[in-house]
Amino acid sequence: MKEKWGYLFLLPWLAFLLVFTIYPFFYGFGASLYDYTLTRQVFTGLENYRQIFRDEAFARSIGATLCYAAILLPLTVCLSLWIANVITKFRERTSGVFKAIFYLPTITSQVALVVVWNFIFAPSFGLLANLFQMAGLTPVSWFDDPVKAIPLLAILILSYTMGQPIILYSAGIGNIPVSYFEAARIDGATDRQLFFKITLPMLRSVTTYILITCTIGMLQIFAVPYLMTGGGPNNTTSTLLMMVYKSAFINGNFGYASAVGVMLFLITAVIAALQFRVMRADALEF
Amino acid sequence: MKAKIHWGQVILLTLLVLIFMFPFYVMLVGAFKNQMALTMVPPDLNPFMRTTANNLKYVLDKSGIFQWLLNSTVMSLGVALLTAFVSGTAGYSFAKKRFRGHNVLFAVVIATMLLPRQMLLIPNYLVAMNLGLTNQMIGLILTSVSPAFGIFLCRQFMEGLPTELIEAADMDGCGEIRKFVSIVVPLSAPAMGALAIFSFFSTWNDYLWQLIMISSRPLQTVPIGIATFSQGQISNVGRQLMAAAIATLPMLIVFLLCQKAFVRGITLGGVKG
Repeated sequence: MKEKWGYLFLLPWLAFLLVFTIYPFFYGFGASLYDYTLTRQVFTGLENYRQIFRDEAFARSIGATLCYAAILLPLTVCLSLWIANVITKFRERTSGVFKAIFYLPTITSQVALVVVWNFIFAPSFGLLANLFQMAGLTPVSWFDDPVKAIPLLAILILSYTMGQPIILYSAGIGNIPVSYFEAARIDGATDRQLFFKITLPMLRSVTTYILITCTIGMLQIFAVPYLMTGGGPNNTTSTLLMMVYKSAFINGNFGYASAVGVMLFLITAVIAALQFRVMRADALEF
Repeated sequence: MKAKIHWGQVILLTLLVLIFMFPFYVMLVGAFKNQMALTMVPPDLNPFMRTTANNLKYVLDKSGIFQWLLNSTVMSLGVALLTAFVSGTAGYSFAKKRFRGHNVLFAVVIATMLLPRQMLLIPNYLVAMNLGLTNQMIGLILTSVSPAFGIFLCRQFMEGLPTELIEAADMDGCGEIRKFVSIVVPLSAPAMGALAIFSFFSTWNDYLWQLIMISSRPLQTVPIGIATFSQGQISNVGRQLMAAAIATLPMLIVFLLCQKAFVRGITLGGVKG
């Protein structure tokens, strides 16, 4: 009888979970086995999956997603750790101002950011192109090939993936007892040693948490490439999520999109399962 | 005794601050410039000369920005309140109640936290469509609630509440619901408030889901409105920047007012101890 209230308080969540997570979850698996458009649904078995493995756009999207992650993950962790380490040396008020500045892009709508970036990087009349002209250089057309486009997009995305890690690292550094540093100082440790022998190891669990949330974030990249390149040229800057969107809402092929969604889910699930173990040991106690 | 700050660090930090502020400078100043000023060589981004209010006038009169702001506010508020409610109740149950299946269900919370809802983009849309929830405000709100992170946050926080205090209410013959409403919720206000603000912002900025759920003009939200408006104003960057600036301003003010709650929300979920 005492258990009853435990369940009752879970009820609102369970209702949402059932309708908007578990049911769609199985529905998605089902739809991926159909030739599913808004007007017809024909069972085709694994045909959608067979198509995926022949689809060059799919391979390219996976490649591009990996490229974004390969650039973004290390940069996010290193740069935010560096910034946090420097700004926590200032007085609290000052470091608060820095935190607010670096958090600004995170709270700004990505669509609004893209409006500015599109103006800065526009090949013909953009701000940067004009500055290049002033210096007598030929303006770079950033989005013509993926070798330039992917790193640029990644750097732009970086500006809003760093906000949270900086705050987390700052809090983590603040939690390290000052006496550790003082003791090391008395023993003659250099700043570099302080950072690598005390700060970094003490931040292990924070780093794990940041890596987990960032990896999940990588698979959710959509707005910036979608609005800046549309995935082009030739799907080389497209992410998997963009492919899901395009298959369904541009091509109207919901079955195929569901199948790509299932692949995206499987990839995420493998990563999540790995992370679940690390996290259990390292970052969160439950 | 804190570590000293080196010259090099200060220079690099200043440089980073400038890089981070630059887009906002361009957005704000560019919003008050005409197309000529923005595209000439060198571009004119002097905030004290040759500014114009034409963009402001155009955006306010012609773009529907008030409607977007209103829609985004209603939607984000709805999602924030619902998320706080769902996370608060479930978080309380996980923190203070003992029942069979406790651990399994909490593992489900963590799993849904690690598997973001974008993974279910298409099936979520198809289910929403079958339920008649697409292209209307109530559907937009219901489908945007994702409480996993919030449940985790609330549980972390509520575990720290003194059980004696909650049990003392039992003796006074306080019902379970009253206990939750008048003891647990007020005591958890820091966590639930931070959570509400957090989901408000993430809903406000969630472009993809709104892109597929909204097809009618009167329902357009800020991200959708700005994106559509910009595509229609390709040859007038100042107007685009003005719309972006107006959309950014309210969020900036809310952020500056609630900065403490932000930091709390971020660190509560992520830092052990």
